[in-house]
Amino acid sequence: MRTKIFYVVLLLMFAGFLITCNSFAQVMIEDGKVVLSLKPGQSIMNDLNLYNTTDKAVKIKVYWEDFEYQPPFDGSKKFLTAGTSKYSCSNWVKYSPFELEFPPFGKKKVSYVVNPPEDLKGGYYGVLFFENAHAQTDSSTGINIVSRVGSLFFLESENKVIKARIDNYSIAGNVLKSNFTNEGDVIIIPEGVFYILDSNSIVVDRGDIAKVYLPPKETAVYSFGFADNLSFGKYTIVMTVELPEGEVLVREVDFEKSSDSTFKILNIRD
Amino acid sequence: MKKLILTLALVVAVAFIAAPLYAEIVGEGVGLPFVVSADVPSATTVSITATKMLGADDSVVETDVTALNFNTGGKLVYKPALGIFLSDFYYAIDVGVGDGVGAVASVTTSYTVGGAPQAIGLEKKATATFVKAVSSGSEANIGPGKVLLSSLIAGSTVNSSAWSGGWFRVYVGIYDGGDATLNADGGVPFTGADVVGQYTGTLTLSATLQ
Repeated sequence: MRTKIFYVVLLLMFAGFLITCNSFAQVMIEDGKVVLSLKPGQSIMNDLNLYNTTDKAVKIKVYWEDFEYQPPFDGSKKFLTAGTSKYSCSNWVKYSPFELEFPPFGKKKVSYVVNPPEDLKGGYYGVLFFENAHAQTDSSTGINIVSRVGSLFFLESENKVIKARIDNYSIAGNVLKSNFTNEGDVIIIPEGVFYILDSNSIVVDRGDIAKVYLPPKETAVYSFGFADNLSFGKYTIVMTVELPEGEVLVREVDFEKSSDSTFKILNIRD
Repeated sequence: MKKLILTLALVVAVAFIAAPLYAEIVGEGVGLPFVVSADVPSATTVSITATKMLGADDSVVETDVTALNFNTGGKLVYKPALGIFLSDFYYAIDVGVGDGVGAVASVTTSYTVGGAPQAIGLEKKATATFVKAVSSGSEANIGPGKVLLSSLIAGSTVNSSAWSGGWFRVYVGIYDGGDATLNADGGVPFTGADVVGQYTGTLTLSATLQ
């Protein structure tokens, strides 16, 4: 009996440890995403505020990397050495300091200066990383861990081109699929919603369309599922897709659900 | 003096009473809008903690480790019944967020091949298993699930929707050769045929907004 109680207590202590572990953060960046609209040659100076949210002193390394959204463009990112991405801005973004020492619950600032070139066009992207400066405590066979949190920089010219195309529609298994192509020169993260009208123009379903994170000239599958209990008949899907700077795409897709639960697209309107 | 105090008290009281009245008149009668505004920054924060676990009973051996050392007494342990070398330990790496302050929208895990005394190193001899950890109930695989570390060289991103209601955890351990899919990817356990020496690498966990 005592042994059982001992193991139960041990288990509870472990569960408590895990919960406690996950209720604490170390360094919080106030701006996880910096979005700037730039004029060619115009310098911008600003600060990022960082907070140590623990009662322990923390040492942080600060450095820049490039990043790119990766297929299937669901937000997956690839981090690259500074200066190696097609959309790198690492040579015209400066920051300081490169190292920070936080006291318990301390606040620090990292200053950055953006000096875009005179021929600035389109979008440029990077990430300022804040890495726990762990001392390597063990050199035996094994794996070193690096943990870091980043602030994403979206630096785009004022005269950017925002243009997108949606095509190649298909419907199967209560899922509408289409292709979303970014024809502009900046990353597009569209905010889409849809609703479905029946033949009496009554709304029978509505919802959000999952975001895609699309670099210029890339195409992603743009899809959403809708209610599987639609009765047989004709319907219209209305998709409203907000692009940056207030641009909106509206698409109407007429379709028919037949008695064998297959779907046929009848008409598509812009 | 008493009069002065009384007058001041009256002025303060009138001010307190009049303020809401004024607000009501202006807000409803005249129709001037009251702008209520507060901007919460898109803060992001992360806590990454690694815990050394004993494989035999899943008990905690060491907390807050910064390197995943798989050795016991300076080496891996030979398992005669299997004819391979394994570790007595595995590691749980937890990614936590603050108490409602800041959010990690995605975690990208990447592996950098380190040193090895032969062509095949830990990238083909160790695995990472991504799970949604929960306080009670069963864990569920998320993202790429269980993969060889070589699958993480290009980086693998898991978005926060995958661990909604729980938290992001990745288990890292020495591969035992028991998974057909991983074997097809080139996974091989440590055997007597492997060259003696140190095998190292670096696992980088990057937390950002989406």
